[in-house]
Amino acid sequence: MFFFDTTRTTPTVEREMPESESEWVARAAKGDEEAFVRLAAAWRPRIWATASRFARSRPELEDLVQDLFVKLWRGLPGYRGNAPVEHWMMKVTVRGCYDFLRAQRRRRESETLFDPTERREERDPGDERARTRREAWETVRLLLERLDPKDRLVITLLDLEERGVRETAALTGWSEANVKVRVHRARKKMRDHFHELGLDP
Amino acid sequence: MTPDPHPLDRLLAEARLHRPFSETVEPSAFGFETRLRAALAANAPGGFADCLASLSWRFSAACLPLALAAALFLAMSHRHSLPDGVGGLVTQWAGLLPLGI
Repeated sequence: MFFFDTTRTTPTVEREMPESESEWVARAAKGDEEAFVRLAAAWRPRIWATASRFARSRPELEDLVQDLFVKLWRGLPGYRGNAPVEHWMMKVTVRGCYDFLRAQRRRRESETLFDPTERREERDPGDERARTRREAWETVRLLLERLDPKDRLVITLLDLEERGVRETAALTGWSEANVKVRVHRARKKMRDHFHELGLDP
Repeated sequence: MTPDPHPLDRLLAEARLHRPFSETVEPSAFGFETRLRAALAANAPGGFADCLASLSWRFSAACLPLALAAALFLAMSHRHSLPDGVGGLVTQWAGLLPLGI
């Protein structure tokens, strides 16, 4: 008696591979986990890049990205196909990041996290330009930490990810006028904090 | 002549080019897939409780008047009148239970 079924062959994924992303999406929406994992691998760099602006440490970022994928997996059956799937994916990501900011707000005020991977980059010799960018990012992050989640979200999308007002409005679900007013106020608050902290050159 | 940008604008321009937790230190695809599958399995939709938890508060608010109307209809259809006070209500609903009260 065999403990392993030796007659079984390895399933050939290529035979069932859909041609386009929309077919993968359709399969994943019907509950095909394999299709979703493939989609997730394709989407990961964009989700990772956006989420990295909100997390303060690598473990926090990994948890956030994981949560975003679970939200996408759960939300996929509700995707109607009215807009491109990438737009829907970014919308879920941005709203997930906003939820994360709100949930973390209280903890952020009392905690200071240390990220060893960022410090590792610092030791990289000779890369003065990269060091300047990293220091600029750390200062900006310090200022962003002092904003409320909505202000932080709008500054991140408009000023750091260079998305337009219309795109930001679509991703957040706010009106374009609301986005413009909010980013104006958020920039003013950031400048005030900038002066308060004595960061003027 | 254009005015000098605010130092914060220059800072934002530099920060924009920085990639926090850059791709070079991202976990491998294997680790990613394994953790993703585990997360999907852990968050697989459960039973009735999960279904109920997924309902929005708006849906719940919309259902509340319907539930009240249904309770009222049942009460009226059994006694053709509203019960008198809490005692009457308890007696009325206790009568519907399959118990020898």
